[in-house]
Amino acid sequence: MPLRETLPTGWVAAAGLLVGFGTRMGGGCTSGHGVCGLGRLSARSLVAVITFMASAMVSVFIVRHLLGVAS
Amino acid sequence: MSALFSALGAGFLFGIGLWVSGMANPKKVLGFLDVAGNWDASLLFVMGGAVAVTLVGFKIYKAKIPIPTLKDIDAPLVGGAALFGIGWGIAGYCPGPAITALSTLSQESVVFVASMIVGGFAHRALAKIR
Repeated sequence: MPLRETLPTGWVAAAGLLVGFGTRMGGGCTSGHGVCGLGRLSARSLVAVITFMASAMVSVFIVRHLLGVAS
Repeated sequence: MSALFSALGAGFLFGIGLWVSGMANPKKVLGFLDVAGNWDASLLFVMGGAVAVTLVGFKIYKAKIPIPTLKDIDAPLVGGAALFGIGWGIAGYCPGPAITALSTLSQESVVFVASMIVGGFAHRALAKIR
């Protein structure tokens, strides 16, 4: 797999902090809420999945298209 | 002991699946999340395929799997998911793929995973204060 070398390290670190904090706070990630939660038809997980999908899409739009960071 | 081997096998399969599907490639993930750009919808099928397997698997092994008991749809759930999504959208890594990407030994994957662990501990510390 070709490695990406464009995302500045500060952004990488900030993203890692957000992912670690948010996953603990929300009780799951793409695997926990997404694959496992949806698989057992959990309403809680469905809400989490819709929320993080939407927020990730908005985040990409802002970082890539509005701020012009090469992610 | 057999539980250890199950975990080893499951982790091995999970890691291979993440690589083969492209989930461990942040460029691919961001291409999926970038609906306003050159949208690559293929990861939708990865998620769909994985959920199809867990749907059947959880039905079969229902009695053997510890089921989470929390049912509340509350502010921490939505707030946490929103914060996680922001980070996911910036770097294109969610926790599982980030750990799998450590195998590339890239500086990026190491910085991300280290920050992710710090973020997790930060939440733990804050939760204790409150």
